[in-house]
Amino acid sequence: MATDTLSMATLTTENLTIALKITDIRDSKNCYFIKVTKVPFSIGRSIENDLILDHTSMSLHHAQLEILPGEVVSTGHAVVAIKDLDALNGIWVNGKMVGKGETVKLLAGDKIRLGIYLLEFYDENTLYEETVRFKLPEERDLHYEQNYNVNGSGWMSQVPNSCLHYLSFFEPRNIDKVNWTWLGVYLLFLALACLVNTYLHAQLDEDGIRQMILNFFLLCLSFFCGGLSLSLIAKIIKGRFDYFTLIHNGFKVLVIGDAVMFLASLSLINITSEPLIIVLTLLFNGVIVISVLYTYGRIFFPLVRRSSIIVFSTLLFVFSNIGYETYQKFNYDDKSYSLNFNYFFPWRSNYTEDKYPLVAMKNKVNENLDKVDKYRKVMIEKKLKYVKSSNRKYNIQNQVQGN
Amino acid sequence: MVNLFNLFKFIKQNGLCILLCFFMMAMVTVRADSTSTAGTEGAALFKRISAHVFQIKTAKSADAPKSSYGTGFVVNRRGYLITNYHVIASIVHDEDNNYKAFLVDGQKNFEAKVVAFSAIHDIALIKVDKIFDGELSLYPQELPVGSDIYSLGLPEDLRMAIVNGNYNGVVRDGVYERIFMTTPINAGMSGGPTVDGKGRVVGVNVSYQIGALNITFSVPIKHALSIMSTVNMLSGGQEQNLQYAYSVIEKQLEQIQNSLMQGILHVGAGAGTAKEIPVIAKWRLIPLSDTLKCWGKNITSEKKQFQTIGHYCYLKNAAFLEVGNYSGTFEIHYEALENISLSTLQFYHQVDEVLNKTEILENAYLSFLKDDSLTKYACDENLVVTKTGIPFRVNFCLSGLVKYKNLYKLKFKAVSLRKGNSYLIVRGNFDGIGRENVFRFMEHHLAGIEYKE
Repeated sequence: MATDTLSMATLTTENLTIALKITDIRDSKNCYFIKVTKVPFSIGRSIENDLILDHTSMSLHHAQLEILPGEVVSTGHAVVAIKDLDALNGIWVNGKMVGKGETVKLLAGDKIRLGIYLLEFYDENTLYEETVRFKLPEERDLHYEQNYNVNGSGWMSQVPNSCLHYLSFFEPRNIDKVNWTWLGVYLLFLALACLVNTYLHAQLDEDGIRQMILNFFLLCLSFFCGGLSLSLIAKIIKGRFDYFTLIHNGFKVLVIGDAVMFLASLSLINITSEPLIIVLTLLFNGVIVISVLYTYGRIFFPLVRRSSIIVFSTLLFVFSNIGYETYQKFNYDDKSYSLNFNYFFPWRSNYTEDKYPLVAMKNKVNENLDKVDKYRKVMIEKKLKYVKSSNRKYNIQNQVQGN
Repeated sequence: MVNLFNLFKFIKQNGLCILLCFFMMAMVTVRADSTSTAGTEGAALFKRISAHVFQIKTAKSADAPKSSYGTGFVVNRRGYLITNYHVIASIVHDEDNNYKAFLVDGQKNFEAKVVAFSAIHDIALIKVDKIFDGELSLYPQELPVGSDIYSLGLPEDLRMAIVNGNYNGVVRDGVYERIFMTTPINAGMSGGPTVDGKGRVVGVNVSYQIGALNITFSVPIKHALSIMSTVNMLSGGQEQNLQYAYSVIEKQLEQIQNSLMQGILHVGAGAGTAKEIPVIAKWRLIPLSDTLKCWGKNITSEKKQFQTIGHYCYLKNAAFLEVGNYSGTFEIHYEALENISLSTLQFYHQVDEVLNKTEILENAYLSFLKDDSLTKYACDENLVVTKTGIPFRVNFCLSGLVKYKNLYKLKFKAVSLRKGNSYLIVRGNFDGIGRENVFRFMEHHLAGIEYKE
């Protein structure tokens, strides 16, 4: 029996960011999400419940979600638990039955079976593997289905055929684990970078090895501190943050980025006038920068789609490069002096006088002289605006006398 | 060297003076135990000369505290004095008309006007509205090396002083000429006269070498005579404006850079034998002018990994423009880096560091913010191969002197391709270079370099 009214209450409970995904096991293509905005949150067949699931397999007062006082999960918020209200068919959490009248703690991803309904427990504040928070669709996407009923607990949504979408978006995992493999790979790359750097500076003797080990630790320390400060900032801004998860997820991206950076530095390529090398360098730099921006973007803006973050990071990289080049052109002090890759290999045979005659530099000289003349003009014009008429006259006689 | 001709002329004209003067000359040549005789000579000269020497100060008004000071001496009793250009330069550049120059005579101050000047030689002729009792006589000839000379002026604003030293000949430095003296002149004595034993002015005190003991310089008086000759000291003056002064300076600066450039391009021209060419490692450089001060260095890095061999040259003197701002001077440095025990990759990296360590523009960004006498820099990069087959990557930066439209500041840096196990780095700069000489300056210092296995 469906009821045809839907009431929306305005009660909310602070810091409660739980959602339930409700699936009728007879029809698993469609699912419904409901955001739990108050505790205790009652579920059952009776219309007094906050969530009315109208089927004979449900008891009138089947279950209740409540907060366990004094307990906090690693994500820093209260523990939610489900209490059996002496339901006839019971409550099954992850395949295990909850005892009559008992309360069982719920973690994100837990699957709760009530009658013919499968409820999956989603917690907005949990960081999942993709460091994405679960986000309910916009209210405008809502339309109300008659089979389900909500009483005083906010709103409910159905997004047709999109359960799969939400699922892929969101794979809860045990967040307290650190991915040691990736950490190991990352440290290895750091070590290699230090090794190359020490070699280049020709310090590979006792002193040099000591120096290299020191560099390595300093580098690790700086990344650690960087990560720590970022998570502290995130904590202040967002209220909750999980440092381990940050490392866990961040490492993958950082490893890729650093690997690329390491390879790039090995090649000693600097921007030259050869288009291929420019493209390659931009590509390398781009991958690093974009991957770092992506990592942190996902951490700070978990609600934004991945693809949007990638696009945004790419645009940011591209425009900052263009901006920097333009800035250099206008406010230029000096061009980079780094030796070209070309210089490294003296067997490049196209350095002949007829290809690069000295006199050809004259044109560049004149171009720059003209630029300087323009600057001069601008400065003089600016000055004229502020100059008072000069009273100072000089007694310079222009009559020349013999000798 | 003794100028006998003048001596005879002098004797002919001044019969009465002969004995006295001859006596004084004899005194001068007998140097042993000369403290007592020098003491008397100094005192006598002081009495005679100091009456015609005055402090020249710049200030907002006659009663205001001094903002700078120097010395000047009377060359024409109608009110003309000679001093250094740098003593009154701030007046010339003072567009807001805040400061004036004054002659200090006891308690009275007389306003001084700049009548003529030479930025090249750092000399200025000023006029004061006062008739003086006398003037000093000017002696534009060179003295014998070792002659006793005396410099007068007000050191450190103390009081009129006379100091004694020796004349050590004229030093030529591109277009700049200075008498090398050992009179211990100090700040404040700039613009004062340096006289010989007879009280004839041979030079105008101009500078001392920092950190040295009694290495001091004066401008040969003939340069004062030449600017005096452009002025008709009998009639009054026609007032000119600031622009005229700037165009005078501009012309003088152009002259300087032209002469310097000619000196650079035609080194050894006219000399009988081939000019010695500096060689560093296997790089054969170009002949460099005698007037440059050059020094070399040969340093092996610690752990004997590579060697730096350098040849650095600079022009000791420059033209004073305004405080902190000099022009008409240049430098050229050659440095060869030789690999001993590094791998090619390591050596390449090392050269890269050396190249990047010395920026072309030290503090340029900050300096053009606070210094509006220079425009900001325009820089560029170029790859060139000289006729001798050596490729260089050249970076250069240009800035314009705002007030002087055909003059620029050039700084450049060039690195060669690796030859054998060596790289050559060339660095040069020229302050106050003319447009047509910018390319020539760089070209000349790169084109003739050769690498001989």
